[in-house]
Amino acid sequence: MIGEPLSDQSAMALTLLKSDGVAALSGRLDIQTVPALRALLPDLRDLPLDLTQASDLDSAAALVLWEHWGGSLPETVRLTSKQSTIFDYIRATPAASLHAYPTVRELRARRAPQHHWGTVARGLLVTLGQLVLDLVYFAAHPARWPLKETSAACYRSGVTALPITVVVGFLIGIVLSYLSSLTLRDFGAESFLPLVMGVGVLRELGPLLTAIVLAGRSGSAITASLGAMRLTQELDALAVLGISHSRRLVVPRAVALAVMTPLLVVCTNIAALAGGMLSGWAELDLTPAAYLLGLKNDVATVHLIIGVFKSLVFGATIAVVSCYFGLSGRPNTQSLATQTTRSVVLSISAIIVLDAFFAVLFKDLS
Amino acid sequence: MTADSPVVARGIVNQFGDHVVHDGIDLTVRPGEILSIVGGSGSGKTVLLNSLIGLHTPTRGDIRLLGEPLRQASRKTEMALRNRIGVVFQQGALFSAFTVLENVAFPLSELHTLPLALQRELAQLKIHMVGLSTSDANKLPAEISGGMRTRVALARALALDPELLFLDEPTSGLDPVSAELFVELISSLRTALDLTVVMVTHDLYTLTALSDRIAVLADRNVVALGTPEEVMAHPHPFIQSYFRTLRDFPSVEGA
Ligand SMILES: Nc1ncnc2c1ncn2[C@@H]1O[C@H](COP(=O)(O)OP(=O)(O)OP(=O)(O)O)[C@@H](O)[C@H]1O
Ligand SMILES: [Mg+2]
Repeated sequence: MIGEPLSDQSAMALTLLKSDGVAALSGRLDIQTVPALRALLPDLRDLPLDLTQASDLDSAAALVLWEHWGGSLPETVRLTSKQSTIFDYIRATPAASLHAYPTVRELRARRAPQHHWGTVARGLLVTLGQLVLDLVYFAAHPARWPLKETSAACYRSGVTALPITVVVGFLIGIVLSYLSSLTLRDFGAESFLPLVMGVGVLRELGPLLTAIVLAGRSGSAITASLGAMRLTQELDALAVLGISHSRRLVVPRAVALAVMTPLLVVCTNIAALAGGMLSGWAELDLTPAAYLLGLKNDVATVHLIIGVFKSLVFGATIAVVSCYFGLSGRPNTQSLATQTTRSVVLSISAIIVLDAFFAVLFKDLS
Repeated sequence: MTADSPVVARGIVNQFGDHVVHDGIDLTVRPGEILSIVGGSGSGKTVLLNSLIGLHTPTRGDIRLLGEPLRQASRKTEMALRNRIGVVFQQGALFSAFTVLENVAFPLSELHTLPLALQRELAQLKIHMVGLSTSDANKLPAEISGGMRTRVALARALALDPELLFLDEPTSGLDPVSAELFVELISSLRTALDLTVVMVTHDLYTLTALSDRIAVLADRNVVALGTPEEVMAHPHPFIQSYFRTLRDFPSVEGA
């Protein structure tokens, strides 16, 4: 008799005893001891096996033995009745199903619904078109307007974004003013600082910075919350109640972002110009009074108007893009993550492209 | 008896704010039995089940799970316990980004001891065991029916061949034929694997066909605990109305 305990822990011990041409396994035969069992398999070869002394046999261990026997139960095996029930389950499973697993291509097709750019472009256009139609509808039925939802969206996407946009604006204002000061001083053109700051911030930086921050924080939140509603079937619940996703979910968010972005931009502008004022005061000895007077006299109102108009378009763009990706996801967590990423990436790209477009469009207005 | 009972709960009090759900519940699950918990909607069956498996820490009271006191359990013992119990949640709680096969194979892959091929075979075996076909194995949870989701959840709970199985309304999404298959599956598994089962169910067929004992939750406590016959004879008004259908249509019981 040869006995070799395989593990120090007695609970894990699995022992193989060979005598009279019969192999007997004793100890625990379960998923925890599968590695030990697999190590013993070469020793077993085709010896008749006695399992009646094994205290446990679970399906993992049974399956290992089953495969060792080449997918059948040899006549010579001795089993307890409990153990044979487990082999009954394995026998009842066709070998083809046991060994079936999906190809990579099958998995990929199921996992990542490949959004072609055409589909996305069409979806965005449909979302936008539906939004316009719904705005017309609400203009005709003002009493139906989802006021509370809009107000909540204004608070969530706009008001709570105020601190971060103001801080970002202030810091960028300081940096921009400092860098401009260095160059302006070389040319003795210190008095142009208000002009540079005014045009740069009001027309370009304020709207762009605010929109990018909003796309990152409010746009992603919209996509994630709508995507979660798909996951929990809340979207289906709305649909069966006959409530339009577009009217109830998209319109409030789009209106909120279109209204709040310009307001936020005005605050960001003030912060950035204030930052510029401090920096100019420190760097160029330009007094705040002179700076403000310069802003008033040198900077045309049209820059502010262009900036505010752009930010309105940016806000609506963020809303349409993030709502589209939120609503078009599939009900699983992976899709939720992908859609949120796509939404932020596309929002920011769209903002920059639109900004370039506006730069060309408004080039004669200055 | 108490020593090797898989689940022992003593003086469980569960309270959410002012709302007392359980007020001093004592419950002992015997080894190898199928214990059903019944009670009205909102009577705290799910909360009790969550307390027993250690997902929810009761306001007061002690629970021993497979001999380990849950309150004092270290992270390591808790993790070891998790491999010895299987849970099927009321809503299935499948991983939505995984296919059926991956859901069932997931607990196996987390062991880090089994080769990939064996994990897949075991998962396919469990999928077949619970009555699903191989063609369902590559679907995502969102693409299968509610009853199939319950069965996938059961297959996942069975993946590690647990000693103790907790089921929260396992047959609620099943048609009568599938429910019968389920009853057969559980009763044969329990003989093959020495399973102890604690389940919450509203389905009278499952209840009478499977339960060794029934615990009735009402008035924040276990008002009756015993064999189905004993419980049905209990005079408590809730129990009387709960089992009235069974008395009015006795054929259900014989099914
Ligand atoms: N996290 C929680 N916070 C507050 N109250 C809770 C919480 N979880 C459960 N409850 C309350 O506890 C009570 C019992 O809930 P539980 O989910 O256990 O009911 P149940 O018996 O499982 O009902 P059902 O048969 O409908 O599933 C309910 O009144 C519920 O409102
Ligand atoms: Mg419940």
